[in-house]
Amino acid sequence: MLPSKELRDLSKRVDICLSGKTVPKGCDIRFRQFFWLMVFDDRGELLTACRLSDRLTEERKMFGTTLPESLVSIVEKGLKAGPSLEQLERRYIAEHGSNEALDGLRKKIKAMEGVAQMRVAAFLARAAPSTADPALSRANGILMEAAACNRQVINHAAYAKLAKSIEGFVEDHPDHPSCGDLVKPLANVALKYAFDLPARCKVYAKTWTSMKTDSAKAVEGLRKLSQQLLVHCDAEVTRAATALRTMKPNAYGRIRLLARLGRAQETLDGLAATKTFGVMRPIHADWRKAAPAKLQEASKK
Amino acid sequence: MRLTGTTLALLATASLLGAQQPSKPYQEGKVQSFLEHTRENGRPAIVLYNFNLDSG
Repeated sequence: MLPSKELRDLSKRVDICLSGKTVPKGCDIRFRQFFWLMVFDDRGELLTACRLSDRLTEERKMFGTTLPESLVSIVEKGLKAGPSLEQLERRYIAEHGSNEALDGLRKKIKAMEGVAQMRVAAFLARAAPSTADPALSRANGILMEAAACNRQVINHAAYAKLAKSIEGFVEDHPDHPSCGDLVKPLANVALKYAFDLPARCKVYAKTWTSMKTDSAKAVEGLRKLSQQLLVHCDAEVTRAATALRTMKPNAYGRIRLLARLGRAQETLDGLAATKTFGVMRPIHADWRKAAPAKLQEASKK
Repeated sequence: MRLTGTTLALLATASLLGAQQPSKPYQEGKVQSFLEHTRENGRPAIVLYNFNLDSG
């Protein structure tokens, strides 16, 4: 593809960069192991992004083109994939965070297979003061952050940051209806690798119900939120326990479910029989601390 | 050191060949400065991330 005439011709119209392992600023990507194409317009604004190998295969199958011809075709289509992400961000601010403008951003992210999802999450929080409902904009940013965390290689720091974002939102907007939308992202994404989900949820519920506020509406909101979290947690525990019953001893994800249920000894046994690798190191380190602490706590009772 | 006529001819040929080498139609690495440059020049651009140069 690189030494082709097609690429040389394309370079007369479009500047081309092989970026190695560096992602352009604002183009945070999910699944770094793949080969991606990002297309920018003449103002340097992001028009589209895609997993190039998949798209090349599609083009070649559909149109019977050569590899370089397929690349040119994908780039040509990409150059017409306006509006740019920046234009959509400007529209969001101009329309004070309208649902249509938010929808435009969401569709763009979907079309770009999640590229720039974290950037848009941060944008929604940053743009909140310019919108009609700043808390809603912030909540939408958190929901996008959760979607990004859920669609990438396991990242301990990203889960912790998401939990902090949700905690901060509930603290700042205890009576906002969006609080309820953050229960699932908290339990299912931010606490996906947490040890003892029921215990963690109880701590959240206690914190929320004892939060000091002068607003009766906020007190009621926090009470309902705590209840909603505990109900959701119960459902998650049932789901995890059911899944565990059908799993083989060395099945993928078994230790995570044991940890999620807070089964301390079984988690430690599982860890002892497992080799901890890369992304799991900080998570397993947490479990290695939390499980003995729970056993010690139980022995005191 | 004195350069002989043959050496000069060889050097001239080598520099001529060097000048005729076609430049690559793409840039490698330094993606942020690449994008700043294309923006300043008002040209559309593409970035290939994680591209395998060996199999390219």
